[in-house]
Amino acid sequence: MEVSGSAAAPLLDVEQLSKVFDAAGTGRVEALASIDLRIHEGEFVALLGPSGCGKSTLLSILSGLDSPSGGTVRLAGEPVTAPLAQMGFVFQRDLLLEWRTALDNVLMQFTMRGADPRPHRDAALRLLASVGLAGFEDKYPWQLSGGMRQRVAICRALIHEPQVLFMDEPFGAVDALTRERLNSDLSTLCSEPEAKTVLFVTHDIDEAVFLADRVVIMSPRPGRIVAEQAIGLPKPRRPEMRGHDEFLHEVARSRELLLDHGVLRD
Amino acid sequence: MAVEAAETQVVSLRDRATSIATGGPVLSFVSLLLTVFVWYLLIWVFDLQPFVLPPPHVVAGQMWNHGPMLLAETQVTLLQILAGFALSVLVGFPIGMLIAFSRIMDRLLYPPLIVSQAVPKIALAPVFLAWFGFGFRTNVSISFLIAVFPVIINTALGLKSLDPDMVRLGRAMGASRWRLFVQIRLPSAMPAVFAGLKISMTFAVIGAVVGEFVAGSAGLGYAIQAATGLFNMSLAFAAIVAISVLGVVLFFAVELVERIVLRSHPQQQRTAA
Ligand SMILES: Nc1ncnc2c1ncn2[C@@H]1O[C@H](COP(=O)(O)OP(=O)(O)OP(=O)(O)O)[C@@H](O)[C@H]1O
Ligand SMILES: [Mg+2]
Repeated sequence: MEVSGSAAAPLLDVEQLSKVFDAAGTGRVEALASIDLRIHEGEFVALLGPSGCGKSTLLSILSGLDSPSGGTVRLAGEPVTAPLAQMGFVFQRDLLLEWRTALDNVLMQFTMRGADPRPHRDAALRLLASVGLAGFEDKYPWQLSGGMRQRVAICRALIHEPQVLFMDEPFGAVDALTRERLNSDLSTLCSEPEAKTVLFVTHDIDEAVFLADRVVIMSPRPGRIVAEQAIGLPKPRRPEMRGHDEFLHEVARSRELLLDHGVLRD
Repeated sequence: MAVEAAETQVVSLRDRATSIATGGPVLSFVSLLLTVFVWYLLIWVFDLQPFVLPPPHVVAGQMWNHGPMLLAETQVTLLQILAGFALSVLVGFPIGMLIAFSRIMDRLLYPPLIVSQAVPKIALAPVFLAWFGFGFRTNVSISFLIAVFPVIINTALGLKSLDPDMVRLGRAMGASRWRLFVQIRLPSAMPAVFAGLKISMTFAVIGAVVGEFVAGSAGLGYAIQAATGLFNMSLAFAAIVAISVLGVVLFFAVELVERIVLRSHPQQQRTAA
């Protein structure tokens, strides 16, 4: 089920990557084994796999937050040895600073880099407004709902126009309706004005198919890439597409792949 | 014995101060009235003589009559408390930071600190007396010795307890260790640090008063001992009231600073609302 990538050189190039956790006392855990993955500029890739298969570990290594035990990761041809300079990262929990307003949490992207946030104020306000948070910019995180908080976290990861956006189950903790809403908001944010390069971890089939240009399916531990599925639906994805035959067909195909590779059943 | 009694008294005073802080001015006035009422009730029920427990109005009269003396003694005690507290913060905060940031320092300092928590520091009062003699230096030392621990421990715990995902977030945003400290770690630790400062302030009061019991030639603690020695219970109680007021005022002073510094922290916002 190899999907032929475009001819251009990939932005992120992963070759024979493996990761073994071998901390004293905890025993050896082989988290990832011989991962090969190419991600092109402007591509939205969803990593779909069961819990514990190493999705978060893979994301940490690709972003340079963690280092591999074997294999290489290249960004635009250069080996990745430190956290990527121009990336955005959204974690499962929003990790907002409780004592900063929504706006200041977004601008934290600049203050943490030692840059002056003031020139980016207007852009941050526009970004917040684009995800339905106009009027909430001066609210503190504890005054916002879980979904609103995660939107702020997404704005924070996008405000500096990162080269790559990493998202690790960002909607795992929000309710189903909010999640659908956030999915379509995210699809819009990541395809307009130009397509962004995104690596999105999830264990929700619908979410993966709805968001991605390509769904990458991982096996249970040790995590390997067992299948890839190109999703040809037009972008940005609209909520009503979830009812369309094309969408349902892709979801069914995804489920079949998961079945074939023993993710849903031995 | 007297020392323990003083300690529990101030601790309960602290609890009361906290409840007053959350109850609002009306409730605190009611609780004050209630205290006075129970005071009278005790005297009436157990038929207590004034030389055992003088009634509130007599104590109030003593406070009025001995106002200038009490004020002078309060000033002495206040200076010792503030010196002990200031030293605790100046010494305790850096030590807490060292423990939080250096694994070696953590291993080296933390165990003896925890062990010394179990030692009643007040037992060292006579030793300080032998070293520094009667007065200011001894009392400040005792006050400092008791008050420094909550600062060290709360600072260390507050700084260490940062969510590891926050560190990852900081690294993902390219933050240096310094910016991570200033923008995330320190602000996250501030509520814990202030909790430590509030305990520290009440301990500083205990320390200063105990110092005056053991090695005082002036101050409210000394005044209490002197008055009870002369069986002047109403004057002793006047001094006790003065210490209580002083303790409450100092506690609220720290809390006021906390409210200002942590004004955008969620806990503060909710209690303020
Ligand atoms: N720091 C670590 N030390 C030891 N083992 C680890 C560490 N981090 C992860 N692991 C192990 O590696 C495996 C993969 O973990 P990872 O968090 O990447 O899975 P995941 O696919 O993200 O799971 P989930 O969907 O539940 O988030 C797990 O078995 C986990 O126990
Ligand atoms: Mg994970």
